[in-house]
Amino acid sequence: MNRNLFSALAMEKIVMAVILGFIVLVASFIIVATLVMLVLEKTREIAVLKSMGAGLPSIMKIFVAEGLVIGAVGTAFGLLLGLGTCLVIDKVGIPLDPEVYYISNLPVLIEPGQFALVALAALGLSYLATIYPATKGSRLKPVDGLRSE
Amino acid sequence: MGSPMLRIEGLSKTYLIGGRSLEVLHGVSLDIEEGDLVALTGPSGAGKSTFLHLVGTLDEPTAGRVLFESRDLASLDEEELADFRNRTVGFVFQSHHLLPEFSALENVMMPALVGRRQRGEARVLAAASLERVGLADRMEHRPGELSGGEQQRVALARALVLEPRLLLADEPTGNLDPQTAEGIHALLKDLNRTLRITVVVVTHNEQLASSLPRRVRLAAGRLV
Repeated sequence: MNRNLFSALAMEKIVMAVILGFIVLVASFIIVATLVMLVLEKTREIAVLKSMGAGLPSIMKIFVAEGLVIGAVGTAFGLLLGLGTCLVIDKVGIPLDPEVYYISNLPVLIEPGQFALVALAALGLSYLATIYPATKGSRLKPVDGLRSE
Repeated sequence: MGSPMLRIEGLSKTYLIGGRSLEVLHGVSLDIEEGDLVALTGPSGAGKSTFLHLVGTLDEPTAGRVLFESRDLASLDEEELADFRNRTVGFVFQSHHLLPEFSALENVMMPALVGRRQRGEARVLAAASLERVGLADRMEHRPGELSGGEQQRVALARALVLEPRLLLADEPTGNLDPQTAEGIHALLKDLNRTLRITVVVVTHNEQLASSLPRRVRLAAGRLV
């Protein structure tokens, strides 16, 4: 009987991970989309900078920095929201039926290590999300941004 | 004098537009000596801007070569090209293309910062360059707060801040009234004389063109 229970719990963990993974994926694509839009919007500025001698790396750095700022702000908000929720749950307590769960409240465990890991993963993903738009921006031919009036 | 500063050989550019090819330049060849002041004229669509972009390495030719001091610009890699654009060439565009978020001074500082100069040094160079074009009292204004002629002079100051050897100006006075245009033309001639900057200026202004020592006319992608 316990074997069934544990395999069900394991299954639930996997499903949770997949769902969270998709949420993170969507969030990363939003960063990609935002930056691609930004690159399109700033074609002229990119062209002007390139015409005065800005190289590929300097243009890339601009968009990577912008993406990382978006990612960092998002990460900070997410972590604060998560921490806040944990503290509130811990304080208020979500009652559980002791007959079923053997404990009376939903346990809350705040591990700094977990927070650090999530922050690191989030920033890492935001960085990865910047690479495509930043490369695209830096490869623009200067004349492409200057022609249209 | 040996080889010229700029040697342009059989320069051609073809664009593909909607599956049809459009040949903008047909084998243009031209030598430009150091210290030249060249007016490039011709009707709209003759390929003047394209010519300037190719010489300034902002675009790549379909055929032909541009040699700067005997060095084929097509052989430069990205980094060398960036360096060439930063140090050797100054560009003035028809619609000034100033960055609207920055003050005139910051706009002029930009090429120096791109060229990894210190902020303080960039500021000094930019202030001197703005002073040269007569805008010492407009440094903190944003481009939006300047008149058309002032914007174009800021663009000129920006092109000149690192004292390039070659100035490429694409109808710098195309959108200006005759009097303001006259001031900018005088400035170009003065720069050519005092700083020995080689200038190629695209213009529709016949009066300016006829007052310059060297005139080149493009029509339908060919020199005439």
